Amino acid sequence: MSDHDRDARCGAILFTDLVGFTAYTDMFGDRAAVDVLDRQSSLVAAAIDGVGRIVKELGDGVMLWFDDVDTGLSSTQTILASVAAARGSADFPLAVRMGMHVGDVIERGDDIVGHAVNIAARVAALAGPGELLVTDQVVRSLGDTGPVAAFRPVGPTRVKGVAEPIWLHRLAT
Amino acid sequence: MTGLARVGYGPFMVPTSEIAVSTVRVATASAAVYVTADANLRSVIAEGVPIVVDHSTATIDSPSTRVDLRVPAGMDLVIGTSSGRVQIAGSVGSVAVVTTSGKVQVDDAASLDVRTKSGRVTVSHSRGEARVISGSGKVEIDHCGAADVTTTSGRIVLRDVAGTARAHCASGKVDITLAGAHDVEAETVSGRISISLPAGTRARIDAPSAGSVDLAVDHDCVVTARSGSGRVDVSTR
Repeated sequence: MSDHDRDARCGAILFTDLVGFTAYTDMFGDRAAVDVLDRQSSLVAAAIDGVGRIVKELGDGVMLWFDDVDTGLSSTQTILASVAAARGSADFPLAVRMGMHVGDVIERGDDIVGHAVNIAARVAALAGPGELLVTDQVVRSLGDTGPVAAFRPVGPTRVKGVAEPIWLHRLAT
Repeated sequence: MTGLARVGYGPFMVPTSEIAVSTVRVATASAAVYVTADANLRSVIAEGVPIVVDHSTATIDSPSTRVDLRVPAGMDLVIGTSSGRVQIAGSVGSVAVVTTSGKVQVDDAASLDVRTKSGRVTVSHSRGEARVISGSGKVEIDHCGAADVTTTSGRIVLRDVAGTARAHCASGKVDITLAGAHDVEAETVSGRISISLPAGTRARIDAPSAGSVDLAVDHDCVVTARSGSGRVDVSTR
């Protein structure tokens, strides 16, 4: 089946990324690094609890898909809280940064492909430890009955292939 | 009000006495952005680039190599540039900057959020929280309220922090001087950490890599410092 035959789906794409993972691996070794990745996967899987989908793991991050933004944001808030709790009890050594965008993707097997995916990855790279950054499109897509969330402006960023700047917001905690 | 503001053939201008603009947004691909705040100014003035006004926000989306902007004091700023320098002089409201490699310099802001991949960040004064996320550039803040600074390899220097201080660095040094008895959380994988507290501060210190764990029950603040391989010094002055 060619891409022209596949239907595009609209939803929320979330990327997670471990802050300081390379330095951690250098210091504590590969086995400790694998333990951290396993722990991240289990924390994320427990937080999304069937309402979202782990699309794939990428190096020290995870890519997730949610059918709608409200569910995605709610699950992301749970991931943030879970990681913060695990770090507070010394159960998880690194902080997680996250980026979310909403847009059309095309499914390719278990994977998803599309420009929206590239944008979400770019957004995550700009986030700080324990922080969620989202695009303007995410903020505008939130429904009235969605999770309670306040956002602060962060600024515009440019993504290759997109003429207009993408305005970013930070989830206030 | 929505529209494009220009006065004559000179600079673009939005009189804030007539249009209630509280935020100026600047988006450029690679331009250097220079902003000067002036307490006597009653307009947002941009040299040679158009300003689009939508409700209380004035937006400048410029492909040029340099953006020169004059704003009334207290204006909120949201700025993004890929590789250009960002320099903000005078006293402004909240500042948010995203840049890839440009140097960021801020005189006096109500609060601050700066993200850069490799540019150096220098802040004289953030009256509220200073949040900086940098890849390899050094971050230096002279005075701020709370501080939350993260770098991958850039050194972090926070002087006169009048609130909770958080500093995370993968491989650079961290130096924090607190103005009062405030909580500190400093973390590096391989760099040295140095924390200075005011004389008389009763701190609960949790810094195992320094061999210094003082879990005092009666304390004014909590200092947590962790370094994978670097030295940790916590002192009073």
